[in-house]
Amino acid sequence: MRKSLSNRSATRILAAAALIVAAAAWRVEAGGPLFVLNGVPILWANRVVTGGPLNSTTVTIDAQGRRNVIYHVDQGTLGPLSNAQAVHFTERIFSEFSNIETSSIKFINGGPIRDPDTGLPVDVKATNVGKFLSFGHPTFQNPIVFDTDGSITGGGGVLGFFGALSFEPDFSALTESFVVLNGAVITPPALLSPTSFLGVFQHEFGHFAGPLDHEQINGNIALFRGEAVIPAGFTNFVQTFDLFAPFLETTYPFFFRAPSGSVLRASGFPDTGYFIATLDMDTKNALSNLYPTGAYRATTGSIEGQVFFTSSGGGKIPVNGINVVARRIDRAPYPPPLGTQAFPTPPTLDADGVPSVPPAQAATDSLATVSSAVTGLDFGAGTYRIQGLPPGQYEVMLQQILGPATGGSGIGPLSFQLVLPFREEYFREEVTSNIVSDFTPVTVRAGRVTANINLEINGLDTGEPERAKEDPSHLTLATAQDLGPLPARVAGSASVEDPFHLIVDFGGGAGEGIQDLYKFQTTRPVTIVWMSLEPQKGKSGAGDLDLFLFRPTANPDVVKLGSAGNPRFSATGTSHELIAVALGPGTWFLGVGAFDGAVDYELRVIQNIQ
Amino acid sequence: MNSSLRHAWGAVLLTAALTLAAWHTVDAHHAVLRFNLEEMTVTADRVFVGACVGIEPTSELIAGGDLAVTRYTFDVEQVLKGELPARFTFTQLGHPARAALKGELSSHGQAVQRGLVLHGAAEFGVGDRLMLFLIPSYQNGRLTYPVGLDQGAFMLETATDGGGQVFARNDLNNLGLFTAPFNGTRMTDGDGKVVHPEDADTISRSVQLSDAARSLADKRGALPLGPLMELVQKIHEEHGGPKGRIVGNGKEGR
Repeated sequence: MRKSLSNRSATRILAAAALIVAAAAWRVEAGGPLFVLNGVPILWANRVVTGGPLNSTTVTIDAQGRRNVIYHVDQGTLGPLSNAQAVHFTERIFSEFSNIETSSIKFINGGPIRDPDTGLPVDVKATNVGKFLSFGHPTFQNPIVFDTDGSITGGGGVLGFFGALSFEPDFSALTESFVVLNGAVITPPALLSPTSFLGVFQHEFGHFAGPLDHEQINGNIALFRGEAVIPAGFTNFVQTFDLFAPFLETTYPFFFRAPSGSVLRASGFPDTGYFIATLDMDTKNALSNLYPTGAYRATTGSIEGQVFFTSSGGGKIPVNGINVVARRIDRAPYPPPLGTQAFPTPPTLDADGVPSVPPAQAATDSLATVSSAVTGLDFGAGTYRIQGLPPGQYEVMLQQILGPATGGSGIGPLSFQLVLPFREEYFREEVTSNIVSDFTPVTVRAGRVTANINLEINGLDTGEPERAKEDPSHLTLATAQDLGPLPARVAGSASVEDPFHLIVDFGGGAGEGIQDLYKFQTTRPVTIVWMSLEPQKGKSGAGDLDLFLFRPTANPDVVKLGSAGNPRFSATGTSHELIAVALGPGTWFLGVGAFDGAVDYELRVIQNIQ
Repeated sequence: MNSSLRHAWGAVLLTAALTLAAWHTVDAHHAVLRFNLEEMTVTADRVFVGACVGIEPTSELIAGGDLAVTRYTFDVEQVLKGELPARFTFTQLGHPARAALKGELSSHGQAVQRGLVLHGAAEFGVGDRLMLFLIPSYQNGRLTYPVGLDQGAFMLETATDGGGQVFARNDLNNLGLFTAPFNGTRMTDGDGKVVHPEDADTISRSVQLSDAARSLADKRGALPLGPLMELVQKIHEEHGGPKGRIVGNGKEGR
């Protein structure tokens, strides 16, 4: 229950409990782990896991030392599918993940789900599903539940659920998960065909398998999204769908329908479900990164580098949460020209109606031989490492992640995706390019890491502003220090011992005091503003500062996160914070909160070059 | 030590995180179908405006197991569809999501908590005013949730320009309310009486509405509450539904 934050004595306590970390998961990568703890990916337990009332097993270790995850299947039907068909679908999906040659983890059908009370095989229904999803009483079966009529998921449009049921006591590894599939959506009049449904759950089982995060490569282009850089010559959704959708990454967070006029739609592929029923290279790499075979790193190479922006004042500031993509371009340049066909001849269909993957052709190699990572993985702030790349020449590009890709549809570690001055930029020696054909090829060799492939974010006004000093007191909205024209730079300090007036309400009873309050104005219809908080170089002191951006608030004492006027915050476990957002005209407040310790900081507010 | 005790019963429920985007309108939602306003209204059996006065994360014995649920209590101001008491409590599967604590297991910045967390569910707090579209209760009337999870929960905010107008916005910033195709949950193409996603006029010209309500389709982002309520009531009326109302003596009910 959210506590009132109107009582100042309470707010002190709540401020101390302000433990929010927007980017706590900053070491996650795209297509990487879904769960992280202190920056460490959470994998399936690397031990035999047995327990529950049936003394059943969810993970075994085979003679080769590989994790075998044991799942169990419902005994019921799945909409119009018989139990045998539903089990076949499940086995097919898991076999796609088990058969990744460069990944060591395997998924094995352990037989039917058994009733924890009787030990007998069971048809899981709305009347007994609680036995298997029970809070506090996991059955250790990794149940795959067939909700045949939607009565488990309810009638609110939910396609299915994936969930983790139990972890090791210290949350260091996963020990049981489940999936519920809603068969109502394939029951006539069906929303989805069984084949498309298969694709939807290929994606979902990827979350189960890794558990894997989402990824972004070809999906934004296929979808003709505004955030994507649409290749020259492609002017509509039909063109982008027909070429890029067959190369869609399996864990791209959005499923979408083919537009009217699409050749693929006319050929019997009305949505992307058909194309994600087979695994793309990036999804295979993502699982292989978590569970690599010995040959994985020996036969493939990696590209590593840092994404940064040059601050007003000269320094390079690393940026986490940027998608970096490497496309092989030694067969043909990226992008393919308009008119290129993913399927020069119609794809063949297997017994489940799943189309064959697009045939290898030079023109589309950059769409197929491609992988990604988000900056801020295990390799340092702002750093990425794209692994699993076959030897060859690559074009490396940074990308803005799709704005709606947050929360349950999230990609990477950030609660809010960063808005970039250029939605895509390309690695080039000396200076990063924003022209797709103007780049420096990067060579990948087997078993090697090609390092220092650094990309600078361009388009920001890095002119040197006067370095302002912090006002003696600027605690309230009325006394907020005006930063003046942008770019702005101010040197300040904040400590948990400093007084504060304004509270940020995170919800759930948690809040954080704002020790230092600034304001600035934007005048253009749209201004991309980057707000960076960094510890001052050469100064001592340690602690954890957070950064909050918000509109003038009706309540001068409390700022409520999540409401319409309060668009962003950055609250990592350090004092390196970054907010990058597109703002309309108006006055904006920027708050610095001290979560821990005392830090001398530099706050920079930079806008994009018009 | 019993092996079962060596485990932490942390559980997180992620709605399958693949969004069914209406074609050409991405927008999101976590393994949940996209709803336009007409199908949302038809799918819901209760639509009301009210203020949240209580949130109680707890667990209940449901379907043979101890499931994490949250009881939300509202002071109902107006009912647009269905019949509700003046103080109304509904129960939803899962506990409210929250941002991860520092040093806590997380996913996309959200805490992976003990108990079930229904990612993609609407997030609101005590004191918030909302317009909610609730699905027919399931699990023998024990559970419900807003249509399309957070799509059917519109946070109400009063403009700060002094005019006092109230605006409504869901987590999708109201995207697709007039353009998302019928998704098959309760309606299919051709069933629309008020909303026609494929037409140039996405709100039917043949339906009598105020100019303010008709112009909602041209607006982006937060929508004025009054005209939005008028439109919802008109949709409900066009589908033959009786007017919603507050019933009983004001005592709490479900």
